[in-house]
Amino acid sequence: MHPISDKELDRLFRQRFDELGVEPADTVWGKISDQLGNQKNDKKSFSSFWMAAAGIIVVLSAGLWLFRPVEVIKLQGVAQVKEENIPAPAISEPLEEVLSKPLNKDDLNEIAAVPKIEASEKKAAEPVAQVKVQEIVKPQIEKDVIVIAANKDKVPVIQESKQKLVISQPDSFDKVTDEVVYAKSITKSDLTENIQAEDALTTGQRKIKSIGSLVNFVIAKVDRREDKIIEFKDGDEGSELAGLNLGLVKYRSRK
Amino acid sequence: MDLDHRNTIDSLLEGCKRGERKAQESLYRALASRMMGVCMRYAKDSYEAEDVLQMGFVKVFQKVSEFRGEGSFEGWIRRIMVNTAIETYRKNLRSLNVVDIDEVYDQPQSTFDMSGLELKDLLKLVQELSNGYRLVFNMYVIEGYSHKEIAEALGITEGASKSQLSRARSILKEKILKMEGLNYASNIG
Repeated sequence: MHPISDKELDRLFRQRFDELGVEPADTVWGKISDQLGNQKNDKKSFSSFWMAAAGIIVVLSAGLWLFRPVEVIKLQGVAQVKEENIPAPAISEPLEEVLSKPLNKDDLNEIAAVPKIEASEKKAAEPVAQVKVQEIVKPQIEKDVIVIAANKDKVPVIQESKQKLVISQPDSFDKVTDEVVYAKSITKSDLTENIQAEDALTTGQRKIKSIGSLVNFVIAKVDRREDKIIEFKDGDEGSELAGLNLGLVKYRSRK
Repeated sequence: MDLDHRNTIDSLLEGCKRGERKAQESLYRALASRMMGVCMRYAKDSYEAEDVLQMGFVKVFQKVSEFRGEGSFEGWIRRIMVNTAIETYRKNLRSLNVVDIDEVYDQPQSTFDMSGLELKDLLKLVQELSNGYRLVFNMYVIEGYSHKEIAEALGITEGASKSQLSRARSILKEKILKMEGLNYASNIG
């Protein structure tokens, strides 16, 4: 029998095994894919956790930006500027006509003209006209007072104007003078401006407030916990973030 | 390895690095047969070989970003298969009893497709070696490890590696002579 050397043996196996190919069972790839899939899912859930966290941060910063404190202080400034900027008197319509017109939003443009008329009337200083003027003006002033009183608790800034008016009110009854009438008229027209300007602003302010409270309302329906996930309060300068409860992270304003 | 095959495998590397399942499957389909061949040499049967193949490919896809392009991608994958086979052997070492050669002969062999009968017979001979002999023979003769490397990988001495190789060779020679009889000489030229 021919003996086989180690070299011959090694070369035989090395050469033949180099071309060795065996088809594995079809199920093997499925197992590999499953094993890889599980690990991939783990990664996916991990990343989706961070996606959720990032989403919450985006929503919160958007909320804080939207409900950031709004400045409402400019109101008086605007009114004063208007008073100062009353242009030279020019009568375009009889006083009675102007004053007897019911004031509505369409007349906003004419409001600027009202003080002008009064200013020129002052120069005329005719007693007959004064009485008439007073008669016309009086009921309207009282109306205004009522309107202001109605707005009083909603619009704190208006209170000052109202107080001015109340102070000047007795004068109008005691002395029937041009000055009083004109003062009243001016006050009235200024007030009308103020009221309308403030109405516009407070409407905006109320809207912002109502968004904060709307969010609170919706959250309260969904989140039964004492510390809501997010809570707003209506502060002096609009809605503020009052509380935040993200489970681990909690924030509560105690002001 | 023909050039097209090699290009196909290299082109799948980037997709595998990005964790694309499609690229991973294509790589597996391209190499499964060859790598199964590697695993078969180290395993005692096709079931064990498939386990090693599965673990090996999972490792390949997990560690593919560590492949720096030193040597061929396929060679790198092949080394992972061999290392996985060695790990499996070492894990099983404690629970395995020394198996007598005659008992090994009686073990039922699973059936699989093979390109040639002679190759199948040679594979059968190696698989019938006891675990230690089979590993040392494969590592030294086919993979080209030194005895020092084998000793380190298997946690044995170099002398043990040498004697196991010597014993494996003589068993294989004996079986070949038995199987082929007088005709063996024409097979190996």
